[in-house]
Order: sequence, then structure tokens, then C-alpha cells
Amino acid sequence: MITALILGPLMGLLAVVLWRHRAAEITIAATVANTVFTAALARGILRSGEVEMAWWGLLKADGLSALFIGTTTCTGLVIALHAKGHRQPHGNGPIPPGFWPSWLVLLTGLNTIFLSEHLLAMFIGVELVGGAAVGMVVLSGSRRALVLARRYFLIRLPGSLLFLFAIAWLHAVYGTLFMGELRELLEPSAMTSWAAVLLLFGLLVKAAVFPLHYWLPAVHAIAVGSAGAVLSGLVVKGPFFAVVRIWFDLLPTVATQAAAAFIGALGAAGILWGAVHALRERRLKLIIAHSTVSQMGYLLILIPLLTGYAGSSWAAAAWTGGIYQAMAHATAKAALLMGAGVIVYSLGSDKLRNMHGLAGHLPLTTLAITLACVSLIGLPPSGGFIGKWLLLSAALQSGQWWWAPVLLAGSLLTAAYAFLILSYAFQAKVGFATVRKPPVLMEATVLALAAASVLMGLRVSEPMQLLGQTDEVRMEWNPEEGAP
Amino acid sequence: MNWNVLLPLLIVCSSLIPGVLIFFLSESSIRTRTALNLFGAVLKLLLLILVYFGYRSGQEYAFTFQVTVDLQFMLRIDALALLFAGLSSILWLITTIYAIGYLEGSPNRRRFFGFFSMCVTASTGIALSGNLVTFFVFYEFLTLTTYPLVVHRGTQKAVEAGRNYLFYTIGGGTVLFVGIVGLSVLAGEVEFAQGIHLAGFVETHPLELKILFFILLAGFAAKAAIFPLHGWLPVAMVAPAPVSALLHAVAVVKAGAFGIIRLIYDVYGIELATALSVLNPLAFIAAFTIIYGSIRAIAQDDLKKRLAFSTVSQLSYIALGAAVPGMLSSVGAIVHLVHQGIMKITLFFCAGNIAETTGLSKVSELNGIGRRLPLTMGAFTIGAFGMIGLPPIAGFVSKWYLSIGALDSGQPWVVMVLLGSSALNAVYFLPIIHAAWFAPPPVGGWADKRPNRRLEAPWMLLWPPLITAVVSVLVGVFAASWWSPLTLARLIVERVYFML
Repeated sequence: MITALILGPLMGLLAVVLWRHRAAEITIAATVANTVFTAALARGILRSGEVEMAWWGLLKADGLSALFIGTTTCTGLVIALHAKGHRQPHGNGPIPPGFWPSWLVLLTGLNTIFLSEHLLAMFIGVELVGGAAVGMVVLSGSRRALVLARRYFLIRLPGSLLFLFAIAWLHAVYGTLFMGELRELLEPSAMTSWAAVLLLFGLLVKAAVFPLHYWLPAVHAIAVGSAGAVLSGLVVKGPFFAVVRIWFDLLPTVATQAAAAFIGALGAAGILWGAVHALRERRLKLIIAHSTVSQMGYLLILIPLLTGYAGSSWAAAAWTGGIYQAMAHATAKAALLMGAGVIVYSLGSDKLRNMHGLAGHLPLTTLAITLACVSLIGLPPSGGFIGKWLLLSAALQSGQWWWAPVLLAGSLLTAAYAFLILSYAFQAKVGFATVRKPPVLMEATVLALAAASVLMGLRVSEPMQLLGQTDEVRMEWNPEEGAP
Repeated sequence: MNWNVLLPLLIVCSSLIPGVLIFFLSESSIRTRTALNLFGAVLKLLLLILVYFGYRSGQEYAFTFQVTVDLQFMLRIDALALLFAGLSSILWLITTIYAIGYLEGSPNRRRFFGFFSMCVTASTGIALSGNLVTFFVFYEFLTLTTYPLVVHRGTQKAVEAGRNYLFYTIGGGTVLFVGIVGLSVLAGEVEFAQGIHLAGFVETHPLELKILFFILLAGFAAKAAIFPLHGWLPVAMVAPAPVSALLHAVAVVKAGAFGIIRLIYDVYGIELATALSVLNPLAFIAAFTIIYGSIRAIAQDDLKKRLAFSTVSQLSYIALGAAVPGMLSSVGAIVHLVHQGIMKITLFFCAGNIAETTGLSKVSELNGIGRRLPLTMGAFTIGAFGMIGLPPIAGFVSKWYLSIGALDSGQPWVVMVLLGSSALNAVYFLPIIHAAWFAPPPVGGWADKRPNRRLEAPWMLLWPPLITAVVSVLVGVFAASWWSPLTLARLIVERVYFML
């Protein structure tokens, strides 16, 4: 299955190159295949309860990998269907053809990150994702998009080089880059700490963690609907996953609680900064893009809650809470940006003041945006609610109560900008001259993804089991026994 | 899966599914929409009656769904749940009829009735919740589904009222969330079961329990409009009359009050709450809100705003009764949950009729209105007398039990508060009634335009207030009969105090 997950999208890419006029269908088929492979992988792991290795130990699939691949591939499938239905706001052309190969490269890259056991494999995955993401940004073809894409590329570059340098350094000293082996060899020293800092720095830039986030809002807002959904929902999850892997699987002997608290503080600052700035924006896409900065901050709170507390009574809650938050964010954020794409198509702009009276004219899109916001805010029974519930209860149980106000303030601020959007949509006066009816496929996919992000809060036991079975190291938790 | 498991779920779904379907209808298919709405409302009522008899004969109804290890979704029937669900489904049926008449010909009715059904789903869900988490799910669902109703007219003022409403309710919801997580961190899953889940922590964690009580209370108080969290309610009056009626009598404020009752009787349990001495502060705040709301009501010239402040005041009767330990006050609190709903919805229906037929919304303009709208004003008079507490109307029964309960538990100051409030109620209601019946109507304006039909208002607007007015007399006169809210309230209280 691991082989299929890496080679499948690549074969799809080859087919897209050969039969260009069928690019959309081939890409969707490849994504469907990827979904099936993931389901099989997750089933295998659930059944056997064991980690699956492949390619001489370069790649490894555990419950965490299966969950992340599952989330990205399912979300990606809906995004691809949305892209198939996508029509340009000016004129009525289809999405630029570059979207399809970019998405397949991105899928390969994400799968590689989620499956990597070897640091070089992880590096390759991160770079594939980065390259494809640059491609997604330039899709719209405008001059501003080109400028931003170049800037995006240049910002990523130092991070990548530092990461590569750190790998080379580690290899020179320890003679291996397999994370499992390296973990046993690593010893706390100034050198190891520096290597760790270098490894993480590049990833944190790419995950848009405060204060290294400044590039994100403009870049994510310029991309066309589906591409923006990929960037804001999925691309940032790649580096985040890499951070989690490196922190918990490679560095447990080196990581200190002070460093973890520092990363958590960055996350907290990001939550507040992103949300406050989202509130000050008056363009829908910019609000959503700033919200990504804010929501990425939530994910980092996982690190201080868990570092040094492996096997504690709240480890399971913190671990699943953080991961669930990431999954819920991926689906909700992708739905939001796709919804913004629909609005741009219909109204020709995403300015809030043009959205007066939207609820009457695009009821389904308004409903979808509302549902996605429900998950982002963390209202029950959404996936975001489960994530916030678990994180909050872990924060209280661990005695690190100071994360609680941050989590809640972020939630309230999210509600504030979500309802800012909706308050425009529900006004009676109409802010737009004409409204075009969007293609059915465009609206239906947005609604489906938004609904999924709410409903995923109802089916938590399988994901928890997936995480629980292969992560005893972190959790020492058995679903049969119940919560401590 | 047998019927006893499915029935609670069905009761919730009987308004959820019509609500969802309505969104998929076209704006112009009025007949199907009306049929769906009424079908849902009647079905819900029938199911509740069925469950009521089952419950009386000892059947147990519960639906559970394990979300994760310490999160359980649980719908369960108990006497309190039946009382609140019964109240909301009866009043929903009546309000639906009223709303169909009220909104005839206005835009966006599909959206309105869709969310209207969702809103009742939420309040039924709140009624049937078997634990705090489920309660929270529906509590937030209620916030979300009432927002589009509050901003329904889409004017700048409505949108601002909506923002104000969300500011309080989302804030309250967040506070409640903290409280629930805190409680579950302390004690695991907390079912509504007279406090047995928390009893073990009195010795070890009294301070934490006290703090959590007030956090949860604040979360509920935001919706129950208890001072100082009442600010949203008078502003939300810009919504259409059926929405105000629903917000005030059944859904939002009642959800808060019901939450307080659950918190005291079922989460903490009356013994534990007394032992922690958390009830006295609540009683003081509630008493203050009663007086404060009444005084503010006197100053309002806008009829709906006056009614809104009256709601602020009346709602706190429930909190006050719940905060005074003793069976009789508890009966008063629980029965007032129903009585206030019936009387207040009558008043709002009447205010809606006055505005709809004559365009008047100010108290100072109501001179002689009784001649133009005799039946409406008759219903209004009954509702207002009930609020003041005149026998034999429902409000008297509530106040009677609250008063003797207070004397019984040795807190005579509560009686003073209740008497003061009654006096103030008279001060702000009697001038309206006097003007309506005895003052001469102004020359020109509405008084010259005679209605060109037999009834003073369309029947769909006229019948609902008449029915609720008659019911508010009946539940007072026949308070001792087997079907009255009072009997059910006594049953609930016996179970609370004797742990039946």
C-alpha cells in the first residue's frame, strides 16, 4: 500500500502529461485511487495494530500517517471535483490546466512527508510540496500572482537550505538519517540542539508559524478558489506533520519543556495575531487567509501539552485533540476558500461590502460557509469542537491552565470574524449589481466538504483507535479501558 | 434498537427533518412548506404525549451515542424534560400558525421557517439532553439557528441587534464550555442525575466545585438574561413578532433558565448546592434582576421593549425559586417556567397584532385601542393580569408557591421582592390596559379606518393569543388536575428531593 501511495499519483502525473486533454479526469481518478489505497492502509493498521514499513525502511506508515493521508486525500478529492466544476470569474473558462499536474505532484509530496521515516525522504516530500505550491500560486497568471509566487519561492529557499544543512550535519556525526536509529543515537549537546533548531526553523517558516507567517495571507488570497483551498487547507499540514514527527519521534531525548513552551508560545501568539488581523480585513479571502495563521497556532499547543508527559493521563487527549484540530482545520478551511471561490465567481469580487444580501442569492454557499465556520469556531458537534474539547481538557488536566484562555480567546475571535462575514450576507440591501448562478458541482462540493467537517465530530472512535494502536509510546492508552 | 431508544431521537428529528426539507423547497411552494411545518409540529406533540403516558407507567426512554471515551451524546426522558419539551412543542405549534399569518407575503419565508424549525429542534434537544455535553451541543445550536431569525429583516438595526445577540450568547457559550470541560476534567462524564456524580468531591475539591458552579451559571445567565447579562434582549426586539414571542417564551431565555434548573437540581443536586452555599449569591442576583427589570420596564415607551424588560424580570423568578432551597420554591420555579411562557407569548402575540393591524408600537399611542381590537386586548389584559399575579391566572400560582416556599425556608425577604415586583408589574401594565379600554381613541389615523372584514385581524393572528390566554387561565384554575403543569412540577420536585 505504501508503494501504491507514492507511485499512484506519479503514474497519474505521467498519464496527465501524455493525455493532456483528459487531465482533469485522470487526476480525479488518481485521487480516487489514492483514497482507496489509504482506506486499505488504515484498515490494515487498525486490524494488525502494527506499523507498516516499506522501501528498506525509508518509509513507514503508522496510525498518524494514515490519518493525515486520509484527511488530505479525501479533502483533495473534493477539491479536485470542485476544480473540475470550476469556472473562471471573468469569462467562463475552466480552471487553468496547470492545476492538475500541480495537484498530483503535491499529493505525491504530501504522501511522502506523511510516510517518511528517513530525513532525506522527508526533505524530498517537503520540497515537492513546495514546488507544486508555487505552481498553484501562479495559476491565475496575473502579474501580482507571479510576484507573490517568486517571493514565496524565495522565502522557502533559506529554510530548505538550512534543513538540508542540518541533515548533512547529522549524517556526518551519527552516520544515519533513519529517524528510528537516529533517535537512539542522539545525545543532548549544543551541537544536537543547533541541528534541531535548524531542522525546525525551515519547517516552521513553511507552516507559517508566528512570527514567520508574514508571507502567507497575501499568497493564499491571490490563488484561485481550488488552489487556495489546497494551499490553506492542505499544504501547511505537510510541514506541520514534519514538525510533529521530528519533535516526538526524533527528538524526545533532546527536546526540553522550555523549548516546547517556547513553541507553544509562538502558537499562542499566532492564534491571537491571525485572528485580530482577520477581524480587520474587509476582503473575504484575506480574512480566511489570516485565519489560517491563527488556526495553525492551535496545532502547536499540542507540543507543550505533551512534551515530557508521555504516558500521562492527559496524553491521549492532547495527542488526539491536536491531530483532530489539524484534520478539522484542513476540511473546514478548504471548504471556506472554495466557498470564497464560488462567491468570486458569482459576484466578481470578494469584498465584504459586495456581499450584502448574499444569503438570499447564494443560500447553499452561505450555508456551507456557516458550517465551515462552525467547525473553525469549535461549536459542537463539529470536528473542531472535538479538537478544542480535548486540547482544553488536556490543558486543564496537565495544570498548564494558561493555554486555556488563549484557546478560548482564539475561539471567540474566530466567532467574531465568522459572524462578521455572515452579518454582511444576511443584510437585506443588496451590495452587488448582478449575480451569476454558479455551476452546481462548485456549490455542491463546498457544501459537502463543509458538512463533512462538521460531521467528523460524530465519529471519533476510529481515528482515536488509529492513533492509539501505533502510538503507545506517546499515549500508553488503551481505548478499552476508557479515559483515566 | 427498540422504540424506547428511538423515541427521544424521533422527537428531536420531528422538527429537524421538516426544517432541513424546507430549505430544499422553492420560495413559492407555500402549501408544501406549511404542511411540513404543521406536520412536524403535530407529530412532535403526539410523540410527546405518547412518551408522557409511557413515562407515567414506568417506561424508560434513552438514546445514547458514544462519541469518544469521555464524550457521550445522550437524549433521555425525565419529568423535567417532558415539561420543557411539552411547553416548547405546544407553543411552537401555536407560534407556527401565528408566524404563517404574520409573515404572509414577506420575502425570505423559506429561510425563516427553515430556521424556525431548527430553533425548536434545538430547544427540544435542550429539554431531552441527558448530560451536560449534549445540553451544550443543542445550546450552541440554538444560538446559531436563532441568529438568522433575529436578523431576518436584514436592516442595519437588525444586523446590529444580531451582533449584540451573538456577543452575549457566543460569549456565554464559551464560558459554559470552560465550565463543562472543567467539570469533566474533575469528575468525568456528568449526567443529569441529582448530583450523584459530584457528591464524592465535596470534601476534596469544594473550591473547584464552587468556581465551576459560577462559571456554568454565567454561561446560562447570558441566555436567561440575568443582570448584568441581559443587554441583548431588549435590542433583539427588532426581530419579527413571532420571533420575539419564541425567543421570550420558549427558546432562548428559557434555555438559559432551564439550564439553571438543571445545574442546581441535576448537576450539583440541591443538597450539594446548599452545602457549598452557592445558592444565596444566585438568589440575590435574581432578586436584583427582578426589581431592576421591572423598573426599567416602566421607563420604556416602546411596547415590545417594555415587554422585553418585563421578561428580564419574570425570568429571574425562575432563578430565584431555584436558588431558595425547599420543595415549595422549587415547584414555583419549575411551574413558572411554563406559566411565564404561556403568558408572555400571549402578550407578544398581542403586541404583534397591534403593530400589524394599526401600525402602532408605542405605549403612548394605545389610547382606545380596545375598541378597535377587543379580542386582542382582552387576551392582553389576561396576560398582563397574570404577570401581575392576580388569581386565578397562571402567574398567581407561580407567585403563591414561590412565596410560601420562601417563608417555609425562612427567607421572608424573598416575599418582599415578589410583592415589590408585583406592584411594579402593575405600574407598567395597568396604564396600558386603562388606556386601551377607557381612554378615547385619537381623532384621525387608525381610529377612522374601519376593518372591512368581520374579524378584527386575520384569524391566524387572532386565534393564537386567544388560545394562549385561555390556557393561561385554565392552568391556573385547574392547577390541581392531573394534566396541569403544576402537577408535573410537583412530580419533578418529589423526584428531586426524594431521589426517586
